[in-house]
Amino acid sequence: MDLFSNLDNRYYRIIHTLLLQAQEKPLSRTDIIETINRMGFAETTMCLADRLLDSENPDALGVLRKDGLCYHSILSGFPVIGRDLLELRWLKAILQEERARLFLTPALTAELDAILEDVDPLFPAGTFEAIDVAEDADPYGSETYAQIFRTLLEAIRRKRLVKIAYESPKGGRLVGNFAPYRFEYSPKDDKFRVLATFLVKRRVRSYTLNLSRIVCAEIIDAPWPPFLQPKDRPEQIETAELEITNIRNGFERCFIQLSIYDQESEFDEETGKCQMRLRYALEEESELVITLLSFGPAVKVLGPERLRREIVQRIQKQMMLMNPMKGYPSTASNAYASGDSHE
Amino acid sequence: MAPFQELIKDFNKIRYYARDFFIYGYRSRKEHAIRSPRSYDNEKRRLESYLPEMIHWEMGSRGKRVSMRAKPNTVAFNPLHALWETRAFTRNDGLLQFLIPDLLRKKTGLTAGQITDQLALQYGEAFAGGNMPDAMTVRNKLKDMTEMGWLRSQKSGKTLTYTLLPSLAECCSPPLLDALSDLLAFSANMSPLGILGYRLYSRLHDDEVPGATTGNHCSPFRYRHNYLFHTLDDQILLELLDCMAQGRDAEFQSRSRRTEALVSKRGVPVRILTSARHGRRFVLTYNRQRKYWFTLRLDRIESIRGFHTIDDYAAIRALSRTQMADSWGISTPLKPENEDIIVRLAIDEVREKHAITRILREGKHGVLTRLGENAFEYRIQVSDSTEVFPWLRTLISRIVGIEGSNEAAIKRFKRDLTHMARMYGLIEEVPDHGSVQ
Repeated sequence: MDLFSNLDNRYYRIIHTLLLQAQEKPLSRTDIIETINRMGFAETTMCLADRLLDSENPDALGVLRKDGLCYHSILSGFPVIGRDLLELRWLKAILQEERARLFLTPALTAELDAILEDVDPLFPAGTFEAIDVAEDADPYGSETYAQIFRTLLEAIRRKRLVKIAYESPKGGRLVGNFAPYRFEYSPKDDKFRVLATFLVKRRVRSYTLNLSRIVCAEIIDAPWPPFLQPKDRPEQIETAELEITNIRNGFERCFIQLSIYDQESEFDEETGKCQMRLRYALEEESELVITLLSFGPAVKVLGPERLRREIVQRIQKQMMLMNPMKGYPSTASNAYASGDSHE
Repeated sequence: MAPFQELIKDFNKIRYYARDFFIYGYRSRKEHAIRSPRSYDNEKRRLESYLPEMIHWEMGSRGKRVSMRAKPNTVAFNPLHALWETRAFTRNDGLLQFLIPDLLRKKTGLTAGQITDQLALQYGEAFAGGNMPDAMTVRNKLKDMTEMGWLRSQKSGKTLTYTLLPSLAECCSPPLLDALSDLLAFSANMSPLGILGYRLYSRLHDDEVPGATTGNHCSPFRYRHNYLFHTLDDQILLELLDCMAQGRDAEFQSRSRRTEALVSKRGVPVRILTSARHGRRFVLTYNRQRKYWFTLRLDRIESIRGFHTIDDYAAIRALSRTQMADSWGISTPLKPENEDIIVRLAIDEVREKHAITRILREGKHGVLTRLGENAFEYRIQVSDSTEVFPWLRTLISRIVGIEGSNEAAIKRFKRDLTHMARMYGLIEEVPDHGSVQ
């Protein structure tokens, strides 16, 4: 089995699109180059355009026939979309996951199961094991949860308000008309969250709601009012400055795990250490703190000051807990008072 | 000198450089010493063409550096999936790709010879200079397309006839297509071998390249803890799944973490272990000759060779569940007895309730016991204590004491804490425990 298939590549998709367009109307040279520019890689126009436009080119791909200034498809109809068995086997395999069934009503599930009846799954259930996912993953097998998921998905697609009753983690219930606009999923805790805007005391606020805490959701068949138009709330982005040491393969551990962030790094030949600048949303700082602590002495936080202070406070508190007879004078400012941690 | 070719024949060339540029962006040109400088220049140029929005250059003290960067929590689709669309093809391949299905759409059950004749009759103009593909070329393309699932072949006497099969889109009702779009948009990112979901999604959405920020069918999903580079190992993963499906013994060529040399290991792959926290994936394998379990990291495997199917595969697979029951992560049972870890914790039950919840959620088969007001004990037995330490460090500021049956490991954990305190200037004297290594 070969994923790097000679039946599937970007150039074929471009040609497929051109043949589709040519069925609607003859194409000009400009149309063709514009499509290649839009869909291709940076050098694709240079590599592909001439092969399509010039029939004298020894590598010509003569699927477009030139007639005057226009190009026509030589096919008898729309280009065929292929059926790929490997893809179907993959689809059959992922349909074994409970999570996949969130997207399909029972009727649609039955329809798809019938279409894939003669297809063997690419891998059986249980082939993949997540070794560090949290115990309280969302209840994908619950029909109530699935119904809420599909309701929110439909609302997002149709840009509709949803009346939601939500059990807050701090206790209490929040009820109101929300404008959901995006799902957020994390494989680390195997949970879905929905981002939605909500009018609270005449102010539009953005909320992140855990799907598992939504008690019920009902679409209000009205479009979003202009004042509730969701837009990505401007996240406050901070830049962490880290010094990474190659203790016990620290480089590999840190760089792989921190690749989920937007970051850049530089190696210092004198010290043998790497300096990394990592950008994160302020609201995710608590999670970043415990991630950085988990690396132990391989990572030192240089900034920003608030992040560094949080790390130092925890380590200082830790040393006092384990060595209560020793005093650990702070060499920094009096800001190292014991403070609340959030993780 | 041959002109630059944007497309490639061998994915492994791109796999190495894409991974290195994406994860180890600090490395300079000379550090990519495992390949030739010429290879570095060519593949760098290709990556600059495939993913220009991800490429960054910086001048540092060690010269020019190239890295690939992304914002994984903002992308709707993995931009690295584009790398799987870079396979080179011949002129005949490219033409037959479109002409054979067009022909078979009108006429079913044709033989290879009939198809070759019809191609010349109906599409002769497409082949520049009258260079029609010969019967063998057409037969090979038909064979490829049949194996991929585009066509069905049937024996008719002594010859094979070919029929075009309907695509998935042609079999689905409009509501199913809509639902599938959403499922595929999600699974292309969050299911194993997501590249197949990406391709299937692309087939349903003509005239689109599902990129990081484009797409008329805008995906409503975004992801946290999104390890984009995993797709680079998807061919290896596919081959592992094939071995597992057939119950085969296999030989793996894998790069040693310490020396970077290629090492050969033999075993029966039974399961894929994935870590969403650390971003690594492993294949759990059993060596039948020497009767031991081991794991290999997918990103370090360069090639796999499958051998014969073994009779006791199902039994080995079943055994793996019990063998790994006491593993915190991927450590395999190498010692006859498990190791105990006992951690005493100080947690404010009112203000730090979230910490208690987190330990219960993440603490696996460990047991958390309340000893008294704001005092807890976490106790666990594992095959390898050191695997638990990264997670235990997330409890820094609450650990009152730690003990365990692996005394050397416990000492190392405590030394690390001291080292961390020294790093931030909280300890001025030289510690008693020696240096950290």
